[in-house]
Amino acid sequence: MTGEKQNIYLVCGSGGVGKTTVSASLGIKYALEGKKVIVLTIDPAKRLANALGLKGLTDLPLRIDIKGLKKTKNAVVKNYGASRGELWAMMLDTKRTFDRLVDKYASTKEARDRIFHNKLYQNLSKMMAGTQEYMAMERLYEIFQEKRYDVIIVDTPPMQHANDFLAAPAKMMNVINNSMLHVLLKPTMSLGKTGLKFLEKGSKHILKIFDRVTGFAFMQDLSEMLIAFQGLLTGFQSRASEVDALLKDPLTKFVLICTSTENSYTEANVFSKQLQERQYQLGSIIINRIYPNLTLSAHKLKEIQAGLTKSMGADKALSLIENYKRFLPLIKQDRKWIREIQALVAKEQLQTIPLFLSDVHDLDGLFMMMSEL
Amino acid sequence: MPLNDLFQKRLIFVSGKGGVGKTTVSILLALLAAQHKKKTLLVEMNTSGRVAPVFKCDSLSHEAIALAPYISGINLNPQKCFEEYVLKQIHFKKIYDVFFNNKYVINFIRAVPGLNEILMLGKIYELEKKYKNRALGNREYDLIIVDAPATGHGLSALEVPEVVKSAVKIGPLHKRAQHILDLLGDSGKTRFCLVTLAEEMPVSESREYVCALKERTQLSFGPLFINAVMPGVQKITKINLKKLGSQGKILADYYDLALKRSQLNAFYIEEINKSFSDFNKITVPYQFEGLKELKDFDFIIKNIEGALS
Repeated sequence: MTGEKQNIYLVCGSGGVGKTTVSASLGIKYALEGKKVIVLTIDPAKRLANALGLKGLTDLPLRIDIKGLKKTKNAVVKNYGASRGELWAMMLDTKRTFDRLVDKYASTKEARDRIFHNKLYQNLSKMMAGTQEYMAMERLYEIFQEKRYDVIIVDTPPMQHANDFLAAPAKMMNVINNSMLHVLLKPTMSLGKTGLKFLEKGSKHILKIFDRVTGFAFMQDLSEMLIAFQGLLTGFQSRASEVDALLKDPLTKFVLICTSTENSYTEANVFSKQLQERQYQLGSIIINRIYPNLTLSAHKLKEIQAGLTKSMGADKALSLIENYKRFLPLIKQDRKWIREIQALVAKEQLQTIPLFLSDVHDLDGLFMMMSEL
Repeated sequence: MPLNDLFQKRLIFVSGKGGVGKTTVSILLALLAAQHKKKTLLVEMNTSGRVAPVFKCDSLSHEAIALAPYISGINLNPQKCFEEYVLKQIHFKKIYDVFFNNKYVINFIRAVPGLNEILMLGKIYELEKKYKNRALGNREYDLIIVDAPATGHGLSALEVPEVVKSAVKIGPLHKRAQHILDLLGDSGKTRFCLVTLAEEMPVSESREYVCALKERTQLSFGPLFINAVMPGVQKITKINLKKLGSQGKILADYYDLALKRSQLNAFYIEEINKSFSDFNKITVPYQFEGLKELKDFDFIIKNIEGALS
């Protein structure tokens, strides 16, 4: 039954490692295995979006026709016609998810409208610390509750470090929970027309100083927005613990995409430890863009060169050898960091994807990548 | 000569999609500016810092330190930017400590969207104005190079001042935003340099980003940097794979890889020339040895194209 047991994959990684393409490839893989899959992605580049059939920004799921794969001779794709697998994709629209949350948790209609009409909320809510990550989790939870899919794949927001994603929602809660908001608002909160009526005594002084530092209208907008959020807090909090429980579920797995560099190793190390601390499961670490494995010694190269010279002439042989030699530092780097990263996880948890000769930006490319997973 | 022009400016923002080599290009620009004897400040905007290891220094902090002759580095800390900003308004450290330096206020500040961005840009604004010797008109820095946050995905840091300005009608923050906007939009002082790879996704993202920035900001663009371009390979016609043996075959694979990647790069450089016809383009070659230390940059400096023509 669709939706009874939903596997969730959260694909993490720092910017530029290929999260979106790997997420999409994973989506195709599970769909071809007969699963009903949804990939929740964040603002993929236009051509990839087009390839996936996602035209324009929308946060509603769209069905993707993967029969369009050119490689229809492939047995897997042929079988796909008969299987019940489906691939769906959608974009995360932070603002709209946020709006829905506000709509859901605002205590009154007025409170809701006050937030919606607040200038800071309209313009800047997506820049609030942790918002994008929080909203990605929120959207995941919504989709999970719909119970319409077998597999949910989340392409997490781009960040400097994969670990930032894990910390982000807590950070956002902390910011709202543990700030002077409470000190300022709780004791004397009244819902006067002027956004500042709630201020009494001690907090008045603080805000006076804030005024000097920022500007009156700004403080008014800001306090209004934050007061409004105050009302959402309880809802947010209960939601956050539900989301956390979902992330701890054995069917939820984190996938880390990285490359073969020292930075990636450090990231993988911290990431796997943090998952453990939070009692989340690591599905796999995928090292992307690996060079073909061949490390030849100088001696061996000479031998090969001699052989090649015989069969193809000295010039061509030299070109091949020289070209290969340029790549040696990269091949060695690959081997070193694959070894190091492998030491962090179980054997079957590490996967590598080769560097492709062409760019991966369409269904065919994704299919090619999928075949490696 | 695009770089000579660029180094006449005061402020350069370097940005692009994640993973395209923003930090590489920022360091490269700093090294080149140093060759022009420009006192250069490399700025990281609250990052974990990939700049310092290249110069074999400890990680950068909110206080600028010397990295190399003519080059200093700083990593902006929003919290410290805030402290400096507040002190400028109220002048009393004690008041700051009492009212602002506690977890309630600090967390509150964190909750203000866009504030970090405006504070860090404000700090860059201050750095630009800084004098070493005001009487002599000596600036502290001739050139400030900012390794800016990645592009795409929502509002970018450089769009924040405009939003703040329109959201905050009066008061110091409004003024602050206006000052920053004036500096960002000053074509005599500021340039925005985009970094891309000669590949599909970075190119199309750059295209979208330039459109958005042209529409929403007054920024002037500097040269476009095409990073990590694979050099062409000598054409070898007809390799008879049958005669090569298994290891020879892998060598042929590597040849194929170099050929295809360089062809791919060449194709997208053409695309870039079409889409960004009004930009100066600077091509940065792929560094097979990696870019871990300064000597690795020598190769790039020798082989960049478009910088001097």
